[in-house]
Amino acid sequence: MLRDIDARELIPQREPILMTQTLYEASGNDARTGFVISQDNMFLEDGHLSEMGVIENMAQSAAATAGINTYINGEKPVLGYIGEIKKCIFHRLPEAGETLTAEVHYISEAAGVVLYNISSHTENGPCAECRMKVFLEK
Amino acid sequence: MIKEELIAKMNEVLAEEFEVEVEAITPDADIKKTLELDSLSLVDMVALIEDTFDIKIDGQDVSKIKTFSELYDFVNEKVNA
Repeated sequence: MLRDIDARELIPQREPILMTQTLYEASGNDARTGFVISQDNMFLEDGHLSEMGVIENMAQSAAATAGINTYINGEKPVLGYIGEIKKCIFHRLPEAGETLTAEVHYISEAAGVVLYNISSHTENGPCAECRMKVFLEK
Repeated sequence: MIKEELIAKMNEVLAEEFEVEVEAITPDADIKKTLELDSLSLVDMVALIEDTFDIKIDGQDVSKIKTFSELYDFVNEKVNA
């Protein structure tokens, strides 16, 4: 099991658009990531992370998860691009200062597209869930 | 599960998921044309089959399958393995 990897090792995004910071752990094709929402986050609206910010966190978490296997092999992580987002449900929008955790669960894969179920929560409860497709760069 | 039951269940769930008439799904029909599958939706079919029949299948294998008849045989083999 991998633990506590800097997300920048797995995805190309950088501040201020970087919306996941640490891959806490990865096992098989599943992973858990973390992101502390700073006061100056570009997706904040009235002190809360916007829906777009929550989705971006889940998208970057899925892309980071998709890059794990090549990273393990010591290769440059394969890049993942979001292909589709479905069944997106928001429970609450987290506030600045909270730590957003995304749980990425592998469902299936075909023709270079990986399907994930993703849920996100903070220390104050569940935030969102969705099903997302990630294109793997060849 | 006998193969006739598998075929009936497969046709039912595919027709519902991809919003086609179940009559359009015939053994010799082309899967991608009938279900209007593209590079993004093929993985939906794989996930649906895995979930419906409680099996794991390789997406690469499924991408090579052309007709529903071939798909029935492929899944039937996995279900009864």
